[in-house]
Amino acid sequence: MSSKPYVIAGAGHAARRAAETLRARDADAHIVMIGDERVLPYDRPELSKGALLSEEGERRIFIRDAAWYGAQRVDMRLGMRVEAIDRASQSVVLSDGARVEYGRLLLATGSRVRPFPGHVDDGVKLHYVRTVDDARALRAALSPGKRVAVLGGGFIGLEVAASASKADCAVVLIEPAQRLLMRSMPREVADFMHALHRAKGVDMRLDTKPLAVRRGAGHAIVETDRGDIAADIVVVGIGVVPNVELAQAAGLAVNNGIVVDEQCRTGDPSIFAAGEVTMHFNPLLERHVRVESWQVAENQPVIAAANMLGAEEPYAEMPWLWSDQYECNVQTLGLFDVAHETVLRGDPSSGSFCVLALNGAGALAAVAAVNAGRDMGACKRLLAAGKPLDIGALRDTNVALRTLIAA
Amino acid sequence: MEQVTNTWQAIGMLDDFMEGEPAAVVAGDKPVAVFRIGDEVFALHDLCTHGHARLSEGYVEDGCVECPLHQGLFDIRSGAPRCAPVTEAVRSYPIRIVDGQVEIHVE
Repeated sequence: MSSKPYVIAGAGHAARRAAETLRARDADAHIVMIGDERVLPYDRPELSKGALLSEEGERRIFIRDAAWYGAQRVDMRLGMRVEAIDRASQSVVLSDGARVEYGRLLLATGSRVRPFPGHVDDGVKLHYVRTVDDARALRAALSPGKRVAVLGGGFIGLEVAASASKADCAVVLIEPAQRLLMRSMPREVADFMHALHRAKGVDMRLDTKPLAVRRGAGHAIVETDRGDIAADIVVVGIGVVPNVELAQAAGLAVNNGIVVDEQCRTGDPSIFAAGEVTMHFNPLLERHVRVESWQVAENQPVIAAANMLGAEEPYAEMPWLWSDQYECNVQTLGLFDVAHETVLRGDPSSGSFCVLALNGAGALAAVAAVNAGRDMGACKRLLAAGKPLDIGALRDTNVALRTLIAA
Repeated sequence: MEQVTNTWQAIGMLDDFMEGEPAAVVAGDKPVAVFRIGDEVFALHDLCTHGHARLSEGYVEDGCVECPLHQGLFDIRSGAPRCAPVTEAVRSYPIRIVDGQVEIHVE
């Protein structure tokens, strides 16, 4: 039984969840949380939505206030980075030179934005949407009539386009691929989102590669392979990269994320990792995955914290994420694969439909739902059951999916 | 013009409501999600406290309804939050069953 602290490197959503669990399971645990931002942990989904539109929208991101961390005796070291892990002495070195010993260390270092790879003229401000500071800066810049160029047609880019459009800006979205959401979504969903944004007045430029951002007269110029686009505000949303350097420097296994097993363990029995920085073994998918989603930040640290306290619990969830754009809700569960047979349930022109992906055995492997949240509860259970399903029934919107669960 | 709303209002017969299939009704101008559990009926305000989802479109299991948009859980009997991302209770309305008729009390 170690009385040394439980140290959490990182102070985001995953760190909060780990601290909550450590305290709930061990009233005496000494918990230290170290994060380089000066603000308390926050949830990110609203950063690209409500937080871009109002201060009120931003407030919702803070799930726990300072009083909670105080009452729960979480030793918060904010505005401080963990610079190094000294595994031999079981301690971390902070950016102010201090050393903190750990009995168990959790790496919850998250991700950072992928920077725009092209040339950027001096004096041109590129906005990103990753931190609350990013969201505040963009919110301050957005105002009616401003020309906003969004670089990237993934979920973040689309959500920012929707928010800027709601703020009465003139929005151009620039995406090098020939369709949106290439990484994660079936074609029907991408086409639907494309049509939705066009209908909302967003100038959609697919198959257009941004090459550089130049400084014009009082505005920015996005140079693309299809000509220049003038903008007052340029927002980049081209993905994130996991913050693995700390783990890597400490000699822990890293491969597009910090490699952990299904119990959130690294190769060092005293060091765990959780949240979207992890390349974790998912027993349901039978492979390692890194998943950028609220779900992983919410649920994986709970397992990691339990195991830091001596449990041996697996983290096993089907990847699930949602995106809200305008009044549209998109959700996806499971991972789509080219080998899947896809079934369309509902008519996209009605504004509500699902794309269901069946594996070789005819069982549900993934689903994407557009304004069809009512089907998600049943899909989750059908996916977990793994039984072959009747394609005719899946396609028939008169058949409630929940009736197929027991069938 | 002010209608007396501090009364019980009929929203259907018990047999109109099916276990596992929440119903959306309007009572006193308020959207209400109605749930049947066994021979009991419960009513919640039909709007998730987190997003803007209709709980009447949610999945019902183990006395809870799962929000269709972000999968938060509410206790059907009390409206209490049971699972993130929901943290705030949803309003629960009193229900009574009189001679097989389901009545709701909204203010």
